[in-house]
Amino acid sequence: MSPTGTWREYIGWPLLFGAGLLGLWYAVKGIFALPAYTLPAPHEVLGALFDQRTALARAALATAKGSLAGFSAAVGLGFALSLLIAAFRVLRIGLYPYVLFMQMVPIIATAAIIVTWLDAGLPSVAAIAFLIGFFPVVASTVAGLHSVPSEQVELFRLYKARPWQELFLLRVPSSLPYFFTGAKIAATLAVIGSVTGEIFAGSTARGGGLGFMILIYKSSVNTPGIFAATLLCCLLGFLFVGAVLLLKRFFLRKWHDSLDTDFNPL
Amino acid sequence: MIAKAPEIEFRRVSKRFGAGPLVLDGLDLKVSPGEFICVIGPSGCGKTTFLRMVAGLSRPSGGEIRFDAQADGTRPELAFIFQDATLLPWLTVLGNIELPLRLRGEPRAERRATAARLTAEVGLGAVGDYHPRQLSGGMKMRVSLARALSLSPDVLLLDEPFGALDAITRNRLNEDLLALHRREGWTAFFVTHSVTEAVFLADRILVLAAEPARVETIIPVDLPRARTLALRESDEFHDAVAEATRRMHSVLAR
Repeated sequence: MSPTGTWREYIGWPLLFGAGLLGLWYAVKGIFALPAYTLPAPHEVLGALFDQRTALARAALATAKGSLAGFSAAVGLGFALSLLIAAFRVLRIGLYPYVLFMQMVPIIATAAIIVTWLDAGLPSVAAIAFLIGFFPVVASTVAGLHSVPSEQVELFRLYKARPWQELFLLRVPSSLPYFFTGAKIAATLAVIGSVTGEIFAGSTARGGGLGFMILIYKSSVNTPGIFAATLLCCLLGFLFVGAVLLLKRFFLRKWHDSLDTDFNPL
Repeated sequence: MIAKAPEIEFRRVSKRFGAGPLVLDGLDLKVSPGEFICVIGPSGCGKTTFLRMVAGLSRPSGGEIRFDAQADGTRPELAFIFQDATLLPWLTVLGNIELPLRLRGEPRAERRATAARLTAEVGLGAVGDYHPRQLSGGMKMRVSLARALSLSPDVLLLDEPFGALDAITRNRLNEDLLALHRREGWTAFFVTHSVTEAVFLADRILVLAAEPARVETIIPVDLPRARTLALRESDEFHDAVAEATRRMHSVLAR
């Protein structure tokens, strides 16, 4: 725990601010007399969550599947490509700039293309979640593989380490904190990518998903439903990021210093 | 286990980087097996460059360094200790110490045994499973020393290894280093900024100067070889430090 506070503070203050924000929400709704289809009250959102629980649970599961498939592929293939880029200079010079460039492609545009290429269900949703997470993983991991302190590299050269030893015994462990930073970004983006894909697939979507539910609620002006589905998207994203941070903690806790800031930025 | 320390001969060794000025010019020096050489001089005089050339991390621009009069440049077993302990943070103390053996492909059981022995020898027997972040600066340096010794080196190169430590830790490490040197008999090149440290450790002190780069002088230290912390209190030690300081200043002021 940080020396600047206690658990009580770290739970108490967020709860207090949460209550304040909810109060503000009710106040805005009351002052402007907004109907539920413009701005539902928090309890109306919870109501929609409860009414639609079966449909929403099924949709959340579908989105989770697509996100997980895309995220796993992004992390696995991203790490593999990073190793190749670190091992072969020609890839580093020739290919890596395009990796950085691909990070700039707007996911909406990618989604539009992927949905026309692939089956508008899990495959295209997973593909979009993969594409949105893949490049951040590669960019971070490659940066990590190349930011080994030069003295450590010299130490390995002095001990006549082979190139594969330098890669796997020095560069890979040294890059893990960077890799997890990339994986954390990919985890956040995976859910966003899936939902974008589901919205794009539109009525052709099979298997549903939270994005699809948002479309349906929109067409029936069920604004509380949209809020409820969005809330689930956020929770899903939190779950993914939390899982990555737990893995990071498991692998790095013994030797890496910056872990505390993951859960508590102070 | 006296190592087969080589005789090392420097013949007109000079070094410049690219088109820059000379950082070392015309070094002639013959070092006997097992000798302890301290290298001292102002910043930028080429001390670290000198060590890196002995290690083969950098090539002389002119002249040559011969080990046992072999011109083919074959090197004995060398170990380098950096200013920073340069430990791998994800490995334990034992893991760091056995790293050079692991890179050589030594079987796990044997390298673990060697690492355990060395850990005890440098006084870290109780913290073998700790990670570097849990250690003090002095302990990290001990790990670095044990790692360097894991390959039973013939020549040890130390680049201001204890410069960042407090005086008490530094003195104790100096004494331990000398004890290990007496037992194992490697040749040592030790870069330092401290005349006192140099006098305590060295058989001879190589004084380098910058602008222009040159070998200023070589000061022999005539103190008994078995040196302990008690020696530091003695008049002969103080006299030796004063004498070395005087000689160094007189030549560096020229």
